[in-house]
Amino acid sequence: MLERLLRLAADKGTGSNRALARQLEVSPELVERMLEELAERGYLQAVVRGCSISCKHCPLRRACLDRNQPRVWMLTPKGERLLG
Amino acid sequence: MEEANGSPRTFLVGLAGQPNVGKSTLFNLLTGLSQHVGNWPGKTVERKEGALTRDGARLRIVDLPGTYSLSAGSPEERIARDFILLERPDVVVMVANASAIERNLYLLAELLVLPVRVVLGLNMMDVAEAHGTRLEPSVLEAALGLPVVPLVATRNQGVAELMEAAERVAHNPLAFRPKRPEIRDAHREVLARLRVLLDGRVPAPYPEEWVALKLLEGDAEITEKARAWLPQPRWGEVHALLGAHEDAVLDIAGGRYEWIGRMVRAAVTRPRLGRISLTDRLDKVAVHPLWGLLLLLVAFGLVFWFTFAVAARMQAWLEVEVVGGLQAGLAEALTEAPPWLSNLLVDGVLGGAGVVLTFLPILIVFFATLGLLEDSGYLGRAAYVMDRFMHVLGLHGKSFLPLFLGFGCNVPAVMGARVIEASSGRLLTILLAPLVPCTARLQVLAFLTPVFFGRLAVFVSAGLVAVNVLVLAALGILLNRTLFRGQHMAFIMELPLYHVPNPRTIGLFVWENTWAFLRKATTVILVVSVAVWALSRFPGPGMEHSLLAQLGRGLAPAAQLMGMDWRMVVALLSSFVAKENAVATLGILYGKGAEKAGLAETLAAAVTPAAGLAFLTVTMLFIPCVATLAVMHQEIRSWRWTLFGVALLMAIALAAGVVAYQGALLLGMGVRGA
Repeated sequence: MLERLLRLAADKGTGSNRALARQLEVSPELVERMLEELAERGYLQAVVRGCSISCKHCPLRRACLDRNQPRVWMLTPKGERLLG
Repeated sequence: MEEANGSPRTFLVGLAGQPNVGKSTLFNLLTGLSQHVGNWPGKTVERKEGALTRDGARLRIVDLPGTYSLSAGSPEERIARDFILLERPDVVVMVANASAIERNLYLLAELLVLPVRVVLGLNMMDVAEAHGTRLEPSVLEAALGLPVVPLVATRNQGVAELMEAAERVAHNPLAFRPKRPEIRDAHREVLARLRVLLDGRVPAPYPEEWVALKLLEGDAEITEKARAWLPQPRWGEVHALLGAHEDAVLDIAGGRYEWIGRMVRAAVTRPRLGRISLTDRLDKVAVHPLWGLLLLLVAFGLVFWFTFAVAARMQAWLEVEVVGGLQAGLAEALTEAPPWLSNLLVDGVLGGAGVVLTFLPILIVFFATLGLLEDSGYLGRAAYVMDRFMHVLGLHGKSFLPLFLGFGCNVPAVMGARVIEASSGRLLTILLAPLVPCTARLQVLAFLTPVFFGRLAVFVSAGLVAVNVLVLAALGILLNRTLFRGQHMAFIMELPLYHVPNPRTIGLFVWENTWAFLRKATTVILVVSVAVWALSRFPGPGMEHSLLAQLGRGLAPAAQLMGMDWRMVVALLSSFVAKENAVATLGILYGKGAEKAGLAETLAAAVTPAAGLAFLTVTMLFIPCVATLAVMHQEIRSWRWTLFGVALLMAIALAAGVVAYQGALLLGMGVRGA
């Protein structure tokens, strides 16, 4: 299931977890948990915004366009190796 | 854990669950005053224990720390796992949050590979129902093959039934036959080989099968232990076997998710109500490869249109009536004062920074509409659609997030490029970032397009933004193919649900941005306005003989190809300090002589639409402002590349300006408007 998720995500280039959930016939919540696990195992990496501090503590947060943005994950070299 | 004959049987019961599932409530209900609190051996984590006697059986209940899984990643996880392995409870009662059943079932899947019997208490059934989730405990029970009891612990509902089930399982170990997550045959074989290698070397109380599984999963604690248990050559074999099956963990963990998916499909129904179904329906269009892109264009078009329709008129009124009135009033009041002072205040300060301040309505409407799109959850989709679009163009996918930030300001866009590990990709993103039209340039656009193009302003603005995006894409592809080797990356985005925007959030967003603009207008822009005014006066006589005029005329050959006179060239140069200065400088240099008319009318009378188009094109593509440039250098740490970026943008801007002007001349736009 995890490998299938990784493969689906990689094939599409960009996918949303809701669309992936539909394809895997599971809920978006489960996809979310699986993405976290893939990140814990080093196949995916959570993309953090490049700002030097986290959004939570950012003084510019209220002026920022970037609050309601999606969480983003990307494939790591380990993930790429797995998919071959 | 049976005591001597005659006395009641005592069962050891572990109470497991994730944090915040109501485990403590249940523990307090069960044990009441019999609780005693200590510490787990060698740990600072509290160990709570209590007892309950029911129907002749005594239950010793141990409250395990709340954990999301049992991977031994945290002290709490290790405690829960060791308790089960070392103290071997007769039964574990797992409390689950019914409204987040997937995450909770993960813990259950991990519990089921341990040598322990489990009953499941589904707490917060009321919350789940309020969320529109319907769970059928009896179906889940059949699917899991273990007792499942619905609970509302806060109201003491189902608690007696749960303990009854726990006691039943404790009494009758052989009847416990749960359906565990499956492992693929290939890995089953690896497990068998591991067990052969481990044979007889695993000390009690660790079950060999479980140790083999954990080794294959890459569990750090068990790996460490196994290394100590096994003699060196044997460990070498195990290590080699594990190395060859590094990705087995995906299969094992994946099997758990498949199992969870099956359970949920069997026992949970979620009528797609309200926001979820709305989100799904809206997303059919919003994230569609083609419709999504069109919708994005329409959305940005609407933002511009709304800005022009509402704010541009207010801006014109502010400029002519308020700033114009102030200028006239001030000039009158200062007739006694030295002429230079009057000129400085009327033409330099009010004519420059004052005109920029009239942008305020444009800014407020722009940020309000943008805030509306953002807070409703749409901008997340915009990022998604654009990212896919950039993939099609062969651009570095990860560049999109920082570039997207550039619409607000290029400075965070450049800093945002830090997310890209590959230095080539980072450099590329930094070089491209200034091509994203920032709000400062959009303001200049919003002010000047109606001046030159009247009703067509919306289309011209959208067209100019599109030019920027196209240049960005083309340059991206070019640089990607030549200087940098392109890398493909997969992205997964978690799109938020749509919701009704919150006026307060949008209000704060608008206010913060407006305030930042006001600070800029009263500092940087004011200083530049005064400097431009001074340079346009000295040494004189008149503006035509000023230092600025000489500078501007020095650049005339290039400017002529774009139909610009020296004043427009100077306006462009001053925009290097801050993009809004383009308008402030035009205000000072063109403001003279037109007493009654606003800057808009004066400009429309003095500049042809063709030259205006060239000016706007260059403004949009021109070298980044000084703040962006400073950050670019700070991030690239190389003057060579920073200057390369500047030179590249300069060349592109000038080329595009010439093309725009000559093209516009061919279209007959070389005639001055009224």
